[in-house]
Amino acid sequence: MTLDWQSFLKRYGPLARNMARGLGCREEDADDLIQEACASLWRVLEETPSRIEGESHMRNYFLKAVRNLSLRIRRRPTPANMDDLAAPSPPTHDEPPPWESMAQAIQRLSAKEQDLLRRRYSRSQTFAEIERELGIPVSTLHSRQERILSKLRRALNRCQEADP
Amino acid sequence: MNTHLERDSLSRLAAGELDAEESMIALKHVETCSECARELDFLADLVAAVDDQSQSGTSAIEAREPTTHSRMLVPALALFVVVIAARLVLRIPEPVLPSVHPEAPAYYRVALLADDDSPKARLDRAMTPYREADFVTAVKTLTEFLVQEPGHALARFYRGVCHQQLHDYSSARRDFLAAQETSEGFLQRHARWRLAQVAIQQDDPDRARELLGQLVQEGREFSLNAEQLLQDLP
Ligand SMILES: [Zn+2]
Repeated sequence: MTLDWQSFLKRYGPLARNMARGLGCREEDADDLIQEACASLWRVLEETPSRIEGESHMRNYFLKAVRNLSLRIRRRPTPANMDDLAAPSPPTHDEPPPWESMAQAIQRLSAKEQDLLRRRYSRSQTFAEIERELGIPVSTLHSRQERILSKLRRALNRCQEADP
Repeated sequence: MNTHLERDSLSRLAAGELDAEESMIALKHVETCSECARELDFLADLVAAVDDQSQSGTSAIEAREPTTHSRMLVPALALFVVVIAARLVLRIPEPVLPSVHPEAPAYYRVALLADDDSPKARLDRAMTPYREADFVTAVKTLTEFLVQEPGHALARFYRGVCHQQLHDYSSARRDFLAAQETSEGFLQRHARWRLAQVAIQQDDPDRARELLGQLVQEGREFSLNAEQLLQDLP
């Protein structure tokens, strides 16, 4: 089976990075770790493709690999070295990636709502940290996030229904 | 099995707030629950989009501390992913490993020396059908090579791969065993990894577990694959 690695990584890379960071992996190790998780997935796809079928299976394998590696990375002084491979031209893809409609839906949120998402999912701040910085109680932040996520889910469902 | 995860488990996973145990429970649950799998994809898209906006500054407000790591992530992976993509598209059989270990290229890059009669050059010629994924012919050419160079670990390794591709697992096992016993370093570990695969293909999970455990212990380039495979074994 073929896989568009760029789209795959663009979709799952940022979440994987947050996860790795949460498991105690240092920022500067995250890229190496994700590369190594890819190498592991790739090796399995090449050697025993029957073990992995479909993108959801790949996502599961990849995220588990990131999780497993995060726990070990502190004991691994030498990062994976990929320098040896020559780069052929990248694959092309015409379909818009799935996060585009997500991006549009996020754009329609208020500045306050967007700020909360960025703090949570780009800067990986905990609710307690956000409470300290903004003076908004954790419980309020919690329900605000819930509301934002429901809003986004509804918006995306509409997008999917509108698709031919 | 049927009970869903706690309500905000997945959003906490996406924000990097689950510990090792909790993240494993969540990821295992997602494997068997399509509803939560959809939620995980939703959150992956959310994180990717928020990340993208933080980088390009297209959101309503500017991030106060731009995150340098997210700027680096995709570019740093670009070279690697195009290599993978091209290889998958072209279906290059082997040598397949990304050079995750400095020793790897020496094993896999057999020099092209046309009129050279060195073992290296002869092996390279014997490998031609292999590179074309003609494993039946490759078994013959590699066997001829091994008659001249008995005990050549790399040739035995490759012949093992051919047998494995042809589903002749007992022959594959013999070759990988010989390769493992007569080599060291990267090739030895790679032969061990292949032996574990063959053990699974031969329905011998106990043997597979033993080999995989050894690879995990070694903590080298196959340990992650071994760890993953161990978790998937029944
Ligand atoms: Zn569920």
